Amino acid sequence: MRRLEGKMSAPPGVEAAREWMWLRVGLLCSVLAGLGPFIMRFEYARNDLFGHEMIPVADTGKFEMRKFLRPDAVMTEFSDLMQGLFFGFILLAVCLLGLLLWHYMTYRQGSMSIYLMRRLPDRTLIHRQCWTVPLLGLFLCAATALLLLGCCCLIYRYRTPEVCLPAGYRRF
Amino acid sequence: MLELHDVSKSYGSKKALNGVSLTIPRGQIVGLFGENGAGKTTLMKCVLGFLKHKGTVTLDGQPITTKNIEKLSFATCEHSFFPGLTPEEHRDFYKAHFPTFREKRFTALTDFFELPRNKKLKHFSTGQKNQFEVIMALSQGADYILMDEPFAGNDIFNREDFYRVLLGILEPEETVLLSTHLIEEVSNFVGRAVLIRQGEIVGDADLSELEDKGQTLMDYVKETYHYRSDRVSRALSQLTGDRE
Repeated sequence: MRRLEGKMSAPPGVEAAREWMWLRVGLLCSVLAGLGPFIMRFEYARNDLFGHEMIPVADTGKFEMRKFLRPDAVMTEFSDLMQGLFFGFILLAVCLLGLLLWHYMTYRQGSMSIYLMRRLPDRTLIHRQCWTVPLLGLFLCAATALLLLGCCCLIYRYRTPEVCLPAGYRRF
Repeated sequence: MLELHDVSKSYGSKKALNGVSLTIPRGQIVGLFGENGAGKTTLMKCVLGFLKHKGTVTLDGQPITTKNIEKLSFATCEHSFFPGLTPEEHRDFYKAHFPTFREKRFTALTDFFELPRNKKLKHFSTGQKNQFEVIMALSQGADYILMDEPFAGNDIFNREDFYRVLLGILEPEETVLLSTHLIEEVSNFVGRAVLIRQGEIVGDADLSELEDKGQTLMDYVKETYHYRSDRVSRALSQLTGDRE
């Protein structure tokens, strides 16, 4: 990862390492913002599959709470539980598009370094400098979002009692 | 040789350049003079390919492309450096992208003008920024150095120093196209004067020929522009007459 950071390019004067750091923070926050609510909704829905009854304990005269799986209980659909899962990633992607725009604007801020860039023999340099971090960020956004989706699917599939899974999920 | 053939550029309905044809051989130092809005900056930007235009611009017989663009350098009063980089970082950037970069010249000029090497350009004064802009244009290793009012904001001593240094360091094959309002100051520096007015070349004179005729550059400019030297006194007498 450090080698990749070193090779990453950004407009001159812009610290690519700092942008990379904020990208990682953004990805982490997006994961937490998606995973946290999902787990809360999932656990709430999972608890709804169970009922509770008081049963007497033999020879003590006391009662204890027993948890039981309600008959015909069906888990909430996964699609209902994953509402807002990608919100953080969408926000991050919008920020990355804004970063791309800002990268191009830096060549007209404080001076007109765009004139220098347009005189370079390598005309692709300006585009590589502007696109590298945002494009890599968008790719990581998509990859992390998919990974998160996969994790949530696994949680849903293997934390839900088999008999409570909606039809179509049991094969998975 | 830098050749412009019938170059025209319009901004909407306004014609900024109208059929400009100009030939600048290697080794000439050419002053480009004209009032504000005459088309000096537009002409330079057309040469550099920054603006779409009609007509052709060729460099040593070839159109200007990525293969020969490094033969042109540009110093502008708008500044084309990176404000967030230091002079040292600029040197590294130029070395990486311009194979003909003249590091010795860069070092000598930054030392001569006492520019701090490790301070970001955004913290330089206006005069220092102008100096650095011209230093980079001179150090790129280009054959044709275009300068668009590079000394705006510099004091007279700075400018005088620069003209003397330029005359001293320029090699015979290096060509300079300098646009400026400071006609009298650069008359000892340039060898040829091209006058532009409302997008058209209205004058083109060799300074040594003017000298032979006993004419100064300022005289030539006034003559070409049909400058009426009595217009100020007439306006003043009209004003004072009204006041009475």
